[in-house]
Amino acid sequence: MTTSSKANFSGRGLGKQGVLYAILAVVLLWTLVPILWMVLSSFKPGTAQLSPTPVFFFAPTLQHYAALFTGGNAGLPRRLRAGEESLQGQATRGVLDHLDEDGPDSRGRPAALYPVSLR
Amino acid sequence: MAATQTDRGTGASKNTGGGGGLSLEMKMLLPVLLLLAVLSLFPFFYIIWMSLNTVSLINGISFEFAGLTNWTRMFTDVVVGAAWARAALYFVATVGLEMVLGIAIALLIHELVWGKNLVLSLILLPMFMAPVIVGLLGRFLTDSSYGLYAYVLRETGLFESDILGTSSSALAAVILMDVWEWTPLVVLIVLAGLASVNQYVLEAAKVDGANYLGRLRYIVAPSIAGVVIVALLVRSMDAIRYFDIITVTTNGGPGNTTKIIPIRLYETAFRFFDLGYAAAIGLGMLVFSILVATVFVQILERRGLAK
Repeated sequence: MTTSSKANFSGRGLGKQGVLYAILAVVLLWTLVPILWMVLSSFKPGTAQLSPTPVFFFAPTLQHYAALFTGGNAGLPRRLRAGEESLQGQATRGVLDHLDEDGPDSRGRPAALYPVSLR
Repeated sequence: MAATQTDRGTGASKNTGGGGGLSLEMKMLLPVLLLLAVLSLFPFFYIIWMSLNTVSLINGISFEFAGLTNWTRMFTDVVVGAAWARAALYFVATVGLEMVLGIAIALLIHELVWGKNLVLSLILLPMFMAPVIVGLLGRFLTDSSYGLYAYVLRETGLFESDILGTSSSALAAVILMDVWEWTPLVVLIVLAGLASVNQYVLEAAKVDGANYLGRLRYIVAPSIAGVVIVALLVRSMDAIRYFDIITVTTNGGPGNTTKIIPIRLYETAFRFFDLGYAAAIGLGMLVFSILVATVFVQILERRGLAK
Protein backbone atom coordinates (compact mmCIF):
# COMPACT_ATOMS: atom_id res chain seq x y z
CA MET A 1 0.00 0.00 0.00
CA THR A 2 2.74 2.39 1.00
CA THR A 3 4.80 1.45 -2.04
CA SER A 4 1.82 1.88 -4.34
CA SER A 5 0.88 5.31 -2.95
CA LYS A 6 4.52 6.43 -3.13
CA ALA A 7 4.75 5.23 -6.70
CA ASN A 8 1.47 6.95 -7.45
CA PHE A 9 2.72 10.20 -5.94
CA SER A 10 6.11 10.15 -7.59
CA GLY A 11 4.61 9.36 -10.96
CA ARG A 12 1.07 10.39 -11.81
CA GLY A 13 0.59 12.41 -8.60
CA LEU A 14 3.68 14.46 -9.22
CA GLY A 15 2.60 15.11 -12.81
CA LYS A 16 -0.79 16.29 -11.57
CA GLN A 17 0.85 18.61 -9.04
CA GLY A 18 3.07 19.96 -11.83
CA VAL A 19 0.02 20.81 -13.93
CA LEU A 20 -1.61 22.48 -10.91
CA TYR A 21 1.47 24.62 -10.28
CA ALA A 22 1.70 25.54 -13.97
CA ILE A 23 -1.93 26.74 -14.03
CA LEU A 24 -1.49 28.59 -10.73
CA ALA A 25 1.67 30.23 -12.08
CA VAL A 26 -0.46 31.76 -14.86
CA VAL A 27 -3.01 32.89 -12.25
CA LEU A 28 -0.21 34.42 -10.15
CA LEU A 29 1.14 36.17 -13.20
CA TRP A 30 -2.29 37.71 -13.78
CA THR A 31 -2.54 38.71 -10.12
CA LEU A 32 0.96 39.94 -9.43
CA VAL A 33 2.11 41.66 -12.63
CA PRO A 34 0.13 44.88 -11.98
CA ILE A 35 1.34 45.06 -8.37
CA LEU A 36 4.96 44.34 -9.28
CA TRP A 37 4.79 46.87 -12.11
CA MET A 38 3.46 49.48 -9.70
CA VAL A 39 6.24 48.75 -7.19
CA LEU A 40 8.86 48.82 -9.95
CA SER A 41 7.49 52.09 -11.32
CA SER A 42 7.67 53.70 -7.89
CA PHE A 43 11.48 53.41 -8.08
CA LYS A 44 11.75 54.58 -11.70
CA PRO A 45 12.78 58.07 -12.71
CA GLY A 46 10.04 59.89 -14.61
CA THR A 47 11.56 59.36 -18.02
CA ALA A 48 11.51 55.59 -17.53
CA GLN A 49 7.90 55.71 -16.32
CA LEU A 50 6.78 57.58 -19.41
CA SER A 51 8.71 55.46 -21.85
CA PRO A 52 6.52 54.06 -24.67
CA THR A 53 8.37 50.75 -24.37
CA PRO A 54 8.53 49.06 -20.95
CA VAL A 55 11.77 49.75 -19.07
CA PHE A 56 12.99 46.97 -16.79
CA PHE A 57 16.55 48.14 -16.10
CA PHE A 58 17.08 51.64 -14.72
CA ALA A 59 18.88 53.56 -12.01
CA PRO A 60 16.44 53.35 -9.07
CA THR A 61 15.36 56.57 -7.38
CA LEU A 62 13.50 57.40 -4.18
CA GLN A 63 12.26 60.77 -5.49
CA HIS A 64 8.60 59.66 -5.56
CA TYR A 65 8.74 58.48 -1.96
CA ALA A 66 10.38 61.78 -1.01
CA ALA A 67 7.53 63.59 -2.80
CA LEU A 68 5.02 61.46 -0.92
CA PHE A 69 6.34 62.62 2.44
CA THR A 70 6.76 66.26 1.45
CA GLY A 71 3.26 67.10 0.29
CA GLY A 72 2.18 64.24 -1.93
CA ASN A 73 0.92 64.34 -5.48
CA ALA A 74 -2.29 65.67 -6.86
CA GLY A 75 -2.92 62.83 -9.26
CA LEU A 76 -1.50 60.30 -11.63
CA PRO A 77 -0.43 62.54 -14.52
CA ARG A 78 1.33 64.95 -12.16
CA ARG A 79 2.98 62.05 -10.33
CA LEU A 80 4.32 60.74 -13.58
CA ARG A 81 6.17 63.94 -14.37
CA ALA A 82 9.83 63.39 -13.70
CA GLY A 83 11.25 65.30 -10.77
CA GLU A 84 8.45 67.85 -10.72
CA GLU A 85 7.27 68.85 -7.31
CA SER A 86 3.50 68.95 -6.89
CA LEU A 87 1.69 72.22 -6.25
CA GLN A 88 0.84 71.13 -2.70
CA GLY A 89 4.46 70.19 -2.18
CA GLN A 90 5.54 73.64 -3.29
CA ALA A 91 2.88 75.29 -1.14
CA THR A 92 3.83 73.23 1.91
CA ARG A 93 7.48 73.99 1.36
CA GLY A 94 6.64 77.67 0.95
CA VAL A 95 4.76 77.71 4.29
CA LEU A 96 7.51 75.84 6.09
CA ASP A 97 10.22 78.09 4.67
CA HIS A 98 8.21 81.16 5.65
CA LEU A 99 7.73 79.90 9.22
CA ASP A 100 11.36 79.04 9.45
CA GLU A 101 12.41 82.54 8.42
CA ASP A 102 10.05 84.50 10.67
CA GLY A 103 9.72 82.18 13.67
CA PRO A 104 6.80 82.30 16.14
CA ASP A 105 5.36 85.59 17.39
CA SER A 106 5.48 86.81 20.99
CA ARG A 107 2.52 84.59 22.02
CA GLY A 108 4.20 81.51 20.61
CA ARG A 109 1.87 81.35 17.60
CA PRO A 110 3.40 80.61 14.23
CA ALA A 111 4.15 83.55 12.00
CA ALA A 112 1.59 84.62 9.39
CA LEU A 113 0.90 81.91 6.85
CA TYR A 114 0.50 84.38 3.99
CA PRO A 115 1.84 85.17 1.55
CA VAL A 116 3.01 81.73 0.47
CA SER A 117 5.68 81.91 -2.12
CA LEU A 118 5.28 79.29 -4.81
CA ARG A 119 8.79 78.95 -6.05
CA MET B 1 -43.70 27.65 43.66
CA ALA B 2 -39.95 27.96 43.46
CA ALA B 3 -40.28 28.68 39.77
CA THR B 4 -42.83 31.39 40.42
CA GLN B 5 -40.56 33.01 42.97
CA THR B 6 -37.62 32.90 40.57
CA ASP B 7 -39.73 34.45 37.81
CA ARG B 8 -40.90 37.19 40.15
CA GLY B 9 -37.33 37.77 41.25
CA THR B 10 -36.14 38.08 37.67
CA GLY B 11 -39.00 40.41 36.86
CA ALA B 12 -38.16 42.57 39.83
CA SER B 13 -34.50 42.70 38.92
CA LYS B 14 -35.38 43.69 35.36
CA ASN B 15 -37.31 46.66 36.62
CA THR B 16 -34.73 47.66 39.18
CA GLY B 17 -33.74 50.51 36.97
CA GLY B 18 -36.74 52.22 38.46
CA GLY B 19 -39.87 54.05 37.77
CA GLY B 20 -41.20 53.89 34.22
CA GLY B 21 -42.18 51.02 31.99
CA LEU B 22 -38.70 50.51 30.52
CA SER B 23 -36.49 47.73 31.85
CA LEU B 24 -32.93 48.42 32.93
CA GLU B 25 -31.61 46.76 29.75
CA MET B 26 -33.77 48.96 27.57
CA LYS B 27 -32.69 52.07 29.42
CA MET B 28 -29.05 51.11 28.94
CA LEU B 29 -29.67 50.44 25.24
CA LEU B 30 -31.63 53.63 24.69
CA PRO B 31 -28.68 56.02 24.01
CA VAL B 32 -27.23 53.66 21.42
CA LEU B 33 -30.63 53.08 19.83
CA LEU B 34 -31.17 56.83 19.61
CA LEU B 35 -27.73 57.26 18.06
CA LEU B 36 -28.52 54.49 15.57
CA ALA B 37 -31.82 56.15 14.72
CA VAL B 38 -30.13 59.51 14.17
CA LEU B 39 -27.37 58.01 12.06
CA SER B 40 -29.38 55.65 9.88
CA LEU B 41 -33.13 56.13 10.15
CA PHE B 42 -33.15 59.91 9.84
CA PRO B 43 -31.10 59.97 6.58
CA PHE B 44 -33.23 57.13 5.23
CA PHE B 45 -36.53 58.91 5.79
CA TYR B 46 -34.96 62.20 4.69
CA ILE B 47 -33.97 60.70 1.33
CA ILE B 48 -37.49 59.29 0.89
CA TRP B 49 -38.84 62.79 1.53
CA MET B 50 -36.29 64.23 -0.92
CA SER B 51 -37.44 61.80 -3.63
CA LEU B 52 -40.96 63.21 -3.29
CA ASN B 53 -39.80 66.80 -3.71
CA THR B 54 -38.04 69.07 -6.13
CA VAL B 55 -35.00 70.14 -4.15
CA SER B 56 -33.43 73.50 -4.82
CA LEU B 57 -30.07 74.66 -3.49
CA ILE B 58 -30.50 78.31 -4.43
CA ASN B 59 -30.45 80.47 -1.28
CA GLY B 60 -30.13 77.43 0.97
CA ILE B 61 -31.89 74.11 0.62
CA SER B 62 -35.61 74.27 -0.14
CA PHE B 63 -38.20 71.61 -0.93
CA GLU B 64 -41.16 71.88 -3.24
CA PHE B 65 -43.53 68.91 -3.01
CA ALA B 66 -43.66 67.09 -6.33
CA GLY B 67 -45.48 63.88 -5.43
CA LEU B 68 -44.35 60.94 -7.52
CA THR B 69 -42.93 63.07 -10.34
CA ASN B 70 -39.33 61.97 -9.70
CA TRP B 71 -40.37 58.33 -9.58
CA THR B 72 -42.40 58.41 -12.79
CA ARG B 73 -39.54 60.32 -14.44
CA MET B 74 -37.11 57.58 -13.41
CA PHE B 75 -39.21 54.90 -15.09
CA THR B 76 -39.55 56.91 -18.32
CA ASP B 77 -36.02 58.37 -18.52
CA VAL B 78 -34.22 56.74 -21.46
CA VAL B 79 -30.75 57.73 -20.19
CA VAL B 80 -31.39 56.21 -16.76
CA GLY B 81 -32.90 53.14 -18.41
CA ALA B 82 -29.75 52.70 -20.49
CA ALA B 83 -27.63 53.13 -17.34
CA TRP B 84 -29.67 50.37 -15.67
CA ALA B 85 -29.13 48.11 -18.69
CA ARG B 86 -25.36 48.71 -18.61
CA ALA B 87 -25.37 48.14 -14.84
CA ALA B 88 -27.14 44.80 -15.39
CA LEU B 89 -24.58 43.80 -18.02
CA TYR B 90 -21.76 44.88 -15.76
CA PHE B 91 -23.35 43.06 -12.79
CA VAL B 92 -23.73 39.76 -14.67
CA ALA B 93 -20.24 39.95 -16.18
CA THR B 94 -18.32 40.84 -13.01
CA VAL B 95 -20.17 38.56 -10.62
CA GLY B 96 -20.24 35.71 -13.16
CA LEU B 97 -16.52 35.94 -13.95
CA GLU B 98 -15.56 36.35 -10.31
CA MET B 99 -17.58 33.31 -9.28
CA VAL B 100 -16.30 31.06 -12.07
CA LEU B 101 -12.66 32.11 -11.67
CA GLY B 102 -12.86 32.20 -7.88
CA ILE B 103 -14.27 28.67 -7.60
CA ALA B 104 -11.80 27.30 -10.16
CA ILE B 105 -8.77 28.89 -8.45
CA ALA B 106 -9.97 27.75 -5.02
CA LEU B 107 -10.31 24.17 -6.29
CA LEU B 108 -6.77 24.34 -7.71
CA ILE B 109 -5.28 25.72 -4.50
CA HIS B 110 -7.16 23.14 -2.43
CA GLU B 111 -5.46 20.34 -4.36
CA LEU B 112 -1.93 21.69 -3.76
CA VAL B 113 0.44 19.69 -1.59
CA TRP B 114 3.20 22.26 -1.05
CA GLY B 115 3.10 26.04 -0.72
CA LYS B 116 -0.66 26.30 -0.38
CA ASN B 117 -0.46 29.21 2.11
CA LEU B 118 2.14 31.09 0.05
CA VAL B 119 0.08 30.82 -3.14
CA LEU B 120 -3.07 31.89 -1.30
CA SER B 121 -1.31 34.88 0.28
CA LEU B 122 -0.05 36.08 -3.11
CA ILE B 123 -3.42 35.59 -4.78
CA LEU B 124 -5.16 37.60 -2.06
CA LEU B 125 -2.97 40.69 -2.56
CA PRO B 126 -5.25 42.65 -4.96
CA MET B 127 -8.09 42.43 -2.46
CA PHE B 128 -6.18 44.59 0.01
CA MET B 129 -5.90 47.53 -2.36
CA ALA B 130 -8.38 50.40 -2.28
CA PRO B 131 -10.64 50.36 -5.37
CA VAL B 132 -9.50 53.89 -6.26
CA ILE B 133 -5.89 52.70 -6.34
CA VAL B 134 -6.94 49.76 -8.50
CA GLY B 135 -8.55 52.25 -10.89
CA LEU B 136 -5.42 54.41 -11.01
CA LEU B 137 -3.28 51.33 -11.52
CA GLY B 138 -5.61 50.19 -14.32
CA ARG B 139 -5.33 53.59 -15.95
CA PHE B 140 -1.55 53.45 -15.64
CA LEU B 141 -1.38 49.99 -17.22
CA THR B 142 -3.79 50.71 -20.07
CA ASP B 143 -2.57 54.18 -21.03
CA SER B 144 -2.00 54.23 -24.78
CA SER B 145 1.35 56.05 -24.44
CA TYR B 146 3.16 54.31 -21.62
CA GLY B 147 0.85 51.54 -20.31
CA LEU B 148 2.35 48.07 -20.02
CA TYR B 149 -0.82 46.21 -21.03
CA ALA B 150 -1.47 48.63 -23.87
CA TYR B 151 2.06 47.98 -25.10
CA VAL B 152 1.68 44.19 -24.91
CA LEU B 153 -1.69 44.27 -26.71
CA ARG B 154 -0.32 46.63 -29.37
CA GLU B 155 2.83 44.59 -29.98
CA THR B 156 0.92 41.32 -30.20
CA GLY B 157 -1.55 42.95 -32.59
CA LEU B 158 -4.54 42.09 -30.41
CA PHE B 159 -5.69 45.66 -29.79
CA GLU B 160 -4.18 48.86 -31.09
CA SER B 161 -6.55 51.65 -30.00
CA ASP B 162 -6.79 53.44 -26.68
CA ILE B 163 -8.23 50.82 -24.32
CA LEU B 164 -10.17 53.16 -22.04
CA GLY B 165 -10.98 55.59 -24.84
CA THR B 166 -12.68 53.11 -27.16
CA SER B 167 -16.32 52.12 -26.73
CA SER B 168 -15.75 48.47 -27.50
CA SER B 169 -13.03 47.98 -24.89
CA ALA B 170 -13.74 50.47 -22.08
CA LEU B 171 -16.51 48.50 -20.36
CA ALA B 172 -14.55 45.25 -20.69
CA ALA B 173 -11.50 46.97 -19.17
CA VAL B 174 -13.33 48.27 -16.10
CA ILE B 175 -15.05 44.89 -15.67
CA LEU B 176 -11.66 43.14 -15.72
CA MET B 177 -10.25 45.60 -13.17
CA ASP B 178 -13.08 44.73 -10.79
CA VAL B 179 -12.63 41.00 -11.50
CA TRP B 180 -8.91 41.33 -10.80
CA GLU B 181 -9.55 42.96 -7.46
CA TRP B 182 -12.41 40.86 -6.11
CA THR B 183 -11.88 37.33 -7.44
CA PRO B 184 -9.52 36.69 -4.48
CA LEU B 185 -12.41 37.29 -2.07
CA VAL B 186 -14.41 34.53 -3.76
CA VAL B 187 -11.31 32.28 -3.65
CA LEU B 188 -11.02 32.87 0.09
CA ILE B 189 -14.69 32.17 0.81
CA VAL B 190 -14.80 29.04 -1.36
CA LEU B 191 -11.58 27.72 0.21
CA ALA B 192 -13.20 28.09 3.63
CA GLY B 193 -16.10 26.00 2.31
CA LEU B 194 -13.77 23.40 0.83
CA ALA B 195 -12.01 23.00 4.18
CA SER B 196 -15.31 21.87 5.69
CA VAL B 197 -15.98 19.10 3.13
CA ASN B 198 -16.05 15.72 4.86
CA GLN B 199 -12.78 13.99 3.92
CA TYR B 200 -14.09 10.54 4.92
CA VAL B 201 -16.93 10.80 2.43
CA LEU B 202 -14.48 11.89 -0.27
CA GLU B 203 -12.12 8.99 0.53
CA ALA B 204 -15.04 6.54 0.49
CA ALA B 205 -16.16 7.84 -2.90
CA LYS B 206 -12.61 7.49 -4.22
CA VAL B 207 -12.43 3.91 -2.98
CA ASP B 208 -15.78 3.21 -4.65
CA GLY B 209 -14.28 4.36 -7.94
CA ALA B 210 -15.79 7.85 -8.27
CA ASN B 211 -13.63 10.05 -10.52
CA TYR B 212 -12.71 13.68 -9.77
CA LEU B 213 -15.64 15.17 -11.66
CA GLY B 214 -18.05 12.79 -9.98
CA ARG B 215 -16.74 13.67 -6.52
CA LEU B 216 -16.90 17.37 -7.43
CA ARG B 217 -20.50 17.13 -8.59
CA TYR B 218 -22.02 14.86 -5.97
CA ILE B 219 -19.96 15.59 -2.84
CA VAL B 220 -18.01 18.85 -3.08
CA ALA B 221 -20.61 20.99 -4.88
CA PRO B 222 -23.47 20.28 -2.44
CA SER B 223 -21.09 20.79 0.50
CA ILE B 224 -19.90 24.23 -0.62
CA ALA B 225 -23.21 25.44 -2.09
CA GLY B 226 -23.94 27.50 1.01
CA VAL B 227 -20.66 29.42 1.01
CA VAL B 228 -20.86 29.92 -2.75
CA ILE B 229 -24.25 31.59 -2.34
CA VAL B 230 -22.83 33.75 0.46
CA ALA B 231 -19.95 34.77 -1.84
CA LEU B 232 -22.48 35.49 -4.58
CA LEU B 233 -24.53 37.63 -2.18
CA VAL B 234 -21.50 39.60 -0.97
CA ARG B 235 -20.21 40.29 -4.48
CA SER B 236 -23.67 41.11 -5.85
CA MET B 237 -24.28 43.74 -3.16
CA ASP B 238 -20.94 45.29 -4.02
CA ALA B 239 -21.33 45.10 -7.80
CA ILE B 240 -24.63 47.01 -7.71
CA ARG B 241 -22.93 50.05 -6.18
CA TYR B 242 -19.70 49.88 -8.17
CA PHE B 243 -18.39 53.40 -8.50
CA ASP B 244 -14.75 54.00 -7.59
CA ILE B 245 -12.88 52.32 -10.45
CA ILE B 246 -15.13 53.76 -13.17
CA THR B 247 -14.87 57.26 -11.69
CA VAL B 248 -11.07 57.35 -11.78
CA THR B 249 -10.69 55.55 -15.11
CA THR B 250 -13.42 56.54 -17.57
CA ASN B 251 -15.87 58.59 -15.48
CA GLY B 252 -18.69 57.00 -17.45
CA GLY B 253 -17.15 57.49 -20.90
CA PRO B 254 -16.31 57.27 -23.69
CA GLY B 255 -19.75 58.66 -24.53
CA ASN B 256 -21.93 56.78 -22.07
CA THR B 257 -20.30 53.38 -22.55
CA THR B 258 -19.39 52.81 -18.91
CA LYS B 259 -22.07 55.00 -17.36
CA ILE B 260 -23.71 52.50 -15.05
CA ILE B 261 -26.41 53.57 -12.62
CA PRO B 262 -24.20 54.68 -9.66
CA ILE B 263 -22.25 56.99 -12.00
CA ARG B 264 -25.51 58.40 -13.37
CA LEU B 265 -26.72 58.88 -9.80
CA TYR B 266 -23.56 60.81 -8.91
CA GLU B 267 -23.92 62.99 -12.01
CA THR B 268 -27.58 63.69 -11.27
CA ALA B 269 -26.84 64.68 -7.68
CA PHE B 270 -23.51 66.47 -7.84
CA ARG B 271 -23.19 67.73 -11.40
CA PHE B 272 -26.79 68.57 -12.25
CA PHE B 273 -27.78 69.16 -8.58
CA ASP B 274 -31.12 67.48 -9.24
CA LEU B 275 -31.19 66.08 -5.72
CA GLY B 276 -34.83 64.96 -5.63
CA TYR B 277 -34.42 62.89 -8.77
CA ALA B 278 -31.07 61.55 -7.54
CA ALA B 279 -32.78 60.46 -4.31
CA ALA B 280 -35.36 58.52 -6.35
CA ILE B 281 -32.59 56.80 -8.37
CA GLY B 282 -30.71 55.98 -5.15
CA LEU B 283 -33.82 54.45 -3.62
CA GLY B 284 -34.34 52.48 -6.83
CA MET B 285 -30.85 51.04 -6.39
CA LEU B 286 -31.64 50.22 -2.77
CA VAL B 287 -34.83 48.38 -3.77
CA PHE B 288 -32.88 46.41 -6.39
CA SER B 289 -30.22 45.48 -3.80
CA ILE B 290 -32.89 44.33 -1.34
CA LEU B 291 -34.57 42.23 -4.05
CA VAL B 292 -31.28 40.54 -4.98
CA ALA B 293 -30.41 39.91 -1.32
CA THR B 294 -33.90 38.50 -0.66
CA VAL B 295 -33.56 36.05 -3.56
CA PHE B 296 -30.22 34.76 -2.25
CA VAL B 297 -31.43 34.53 1.35
CA GLN B 298 -34.49 32.58 0.19
CA ILE B 299 -32.24 30.18 -1.72
CA LEU B 300 -30.16 29.72 1.44
CA GLU B 301 -33.29 29.13 3.52
CA ARG B 302 -34.68 26.63 1.00
CA ARG B 303 -31.45 24.66 1.23
CA GLY B 304 -31.50 24.89 5.03
CA LEU B 305 -28.26 26.87 5.09
CA ALA B 306 -29.49 30.12 6.57
CA LYS B 307 -28.90 29.03 10.18
